[in-house]
Amino acid sequence: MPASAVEFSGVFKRFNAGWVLDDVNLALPEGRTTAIVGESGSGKSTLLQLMNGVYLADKGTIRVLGEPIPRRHLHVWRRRIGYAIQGAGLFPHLNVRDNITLLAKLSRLDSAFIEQRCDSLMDAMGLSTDLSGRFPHLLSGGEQQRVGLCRALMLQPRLLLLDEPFSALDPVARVGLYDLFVRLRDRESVTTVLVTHDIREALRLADHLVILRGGVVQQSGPVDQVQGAPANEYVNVLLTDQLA
Amino acid sequence: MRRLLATITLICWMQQPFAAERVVVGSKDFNEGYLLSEVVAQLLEHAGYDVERRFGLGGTLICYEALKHREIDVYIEYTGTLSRAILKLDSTPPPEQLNVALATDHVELLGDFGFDNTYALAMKSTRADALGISRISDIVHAHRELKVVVSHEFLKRADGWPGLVAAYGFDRYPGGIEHGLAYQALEDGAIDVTDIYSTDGEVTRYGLRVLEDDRKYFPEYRAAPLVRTELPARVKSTIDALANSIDNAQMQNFNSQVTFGGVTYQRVASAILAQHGIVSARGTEEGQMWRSLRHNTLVHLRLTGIALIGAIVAGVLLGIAVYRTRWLSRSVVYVAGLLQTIPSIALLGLMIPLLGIGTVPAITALFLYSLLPILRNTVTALATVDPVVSRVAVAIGLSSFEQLRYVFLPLSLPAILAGVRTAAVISIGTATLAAFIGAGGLGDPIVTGLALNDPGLILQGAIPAALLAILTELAFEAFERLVVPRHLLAPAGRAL
Repeated sequence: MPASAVEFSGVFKRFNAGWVLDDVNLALPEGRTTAIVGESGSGKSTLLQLMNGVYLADKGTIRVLGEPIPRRHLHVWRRRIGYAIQGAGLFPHLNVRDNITLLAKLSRLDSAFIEQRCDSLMDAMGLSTDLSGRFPHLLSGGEQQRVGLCRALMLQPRLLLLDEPFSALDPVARVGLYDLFVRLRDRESVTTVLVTHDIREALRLADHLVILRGGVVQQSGPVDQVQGAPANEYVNVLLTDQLA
Repeated sequence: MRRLLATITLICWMQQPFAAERVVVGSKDFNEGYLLSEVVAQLLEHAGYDVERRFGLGGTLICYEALKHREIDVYIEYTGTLSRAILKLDSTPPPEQLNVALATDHVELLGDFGFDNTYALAMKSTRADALGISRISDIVHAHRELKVVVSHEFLKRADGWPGLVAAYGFDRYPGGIEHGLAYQALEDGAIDVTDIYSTDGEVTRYGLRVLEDDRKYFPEYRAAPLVRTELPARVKSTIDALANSIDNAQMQNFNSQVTFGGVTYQRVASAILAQHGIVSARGTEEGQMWRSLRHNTLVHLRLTGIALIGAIVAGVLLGIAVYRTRWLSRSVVYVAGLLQTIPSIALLGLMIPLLGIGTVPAITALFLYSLLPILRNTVTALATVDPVVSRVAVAIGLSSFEQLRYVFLPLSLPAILAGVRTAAVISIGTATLAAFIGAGGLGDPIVTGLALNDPGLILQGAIPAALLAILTELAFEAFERLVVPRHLLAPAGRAL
């Protein structure tokens, strides 16, 4: 069994309304892609944001890349973790290249390296260098999302967190982006955690599934294992109905 | 702080042993106030003092507080006003008794000018002569057919018509008229008798007879220099030379020259002194329009500029400090909004006990007025940055400072600039009121022009102030285009 990139043990999280995560225990394999699948309100996005310390657990321990989430200099630690989100969240006042390289420049990386890395990522994501100077509002939704993924991978993170980055795209753009993403992910061999409500997307991109419902993990394991032996009726329905 | 400033001033003063002694002369913001203060100022200059003029101070309270707090050394006050408005007495005691009461504030009245600018009843001289009327009693008893119409204010004031009825036994109820129209109505014969101030320039201009107050009903409003008690005795005695130098008829004539004769108050003041054999060193200020325009504009820009820079720094920092906490930002914006609702003149007046008069309180007031638009726009803009963008800024590993510096502030810049622009234009307009507390600027000619009924003078302040506001607006627009990416400018810049 490969080492775990992310480990949750006995994790609870509540907001004002009540429990969002209830006794979560997980071990996500290093070097693989894990999909966390659930409906809206299942707590999947909260789970993701516990992994980069945006939220802190009320109870339980979380280890990421072999160490607990640090209390000090959290933002420096976060730079080792890539992050992309639905709608991309590009900075509207920065052009494409500045969006991708902002963090690298603030980290005082060598500028030749920054330029080269940015070019290479854009190329891999099928973004023409003509787009470098363009502001986000002039890009299509698919282009924005590709820039968002380049930004997430710029600092060569060991862990990539994806919060439904493909959800808002039209089907054609989405399928094209899956292929570009898979190729780049494999080239970078980055451990990936993908949050999605779409079981097809999960099966297409992930090796490992976590099925979440009402803040409780229904089943967690390699894709074929989950498909072969659904732990309960919910998982069974999710797999069969949505794929029908 | 003020003690420190005072010490510094004292040291500077001691290092110039040969400099002339400085006397600060204030004036109220109406024609007679300007004229008499100018007489005092020219007299002191003639006697070799270095005179600083703080003219057009906005009303009795501001003048009195300024004197009490040593911001000015002398201004012209009326015994009736002192008794009623300052000392809250029901009658007007003689000057010696007034001075006893004033001693606690360390101010004193010098000898009065010799005239009494009180309420009075007046009618056309020709008509009065024809009917043989010279006293108020005459119209009560002998001439019931006369049309008595008085100003609305006089009709209501306790020391106006109601008291007059009690003193003289009028059994008619008079009509009311707008004071500004009463003179023309007298002239046209539409009315026969109305209330006036006894030294109004209109008395001369319209050939009026001021009826004798034979039952001594109207309180005395004798004009006299009010000075700080600790003023050197030789300064006081210099000013005291003016005691009993002007009677009612002369004062009417002088006021008429300023109000209707097109003569500047400086020149009339020189003429008054010339009657005493004093040739004023200063003379008039004609031909200095451009110089004073430049000076006033620079002072105006300095007042608004300093206030605006302070408000930008404070407003943006405060906005950054509170925008994350909803209740806190709401209360801060609420308080800033409350400050804005205080009428400017009231705010300026309230600050006199704290900051005195002049530049410092004026800048403070402008600062407070500029704060709200900047603070509110900063808070709103920072709090309404797209939540997806703000989540990304945290999640990709920007520090709190970097989030502000590279994401939140640049995105809020258009709205903040719009706030600064609003604040700048408000400031430039409001700063014209700073003249009321002696801070100068483009309000100076406006206040003076209003007091002296001189439209030309008003325009000398109003036109440059309006131009300045327009130029500021244009300059900010150009600046925004320069620093803000165009696609961020349109919605955010206008929405707030």
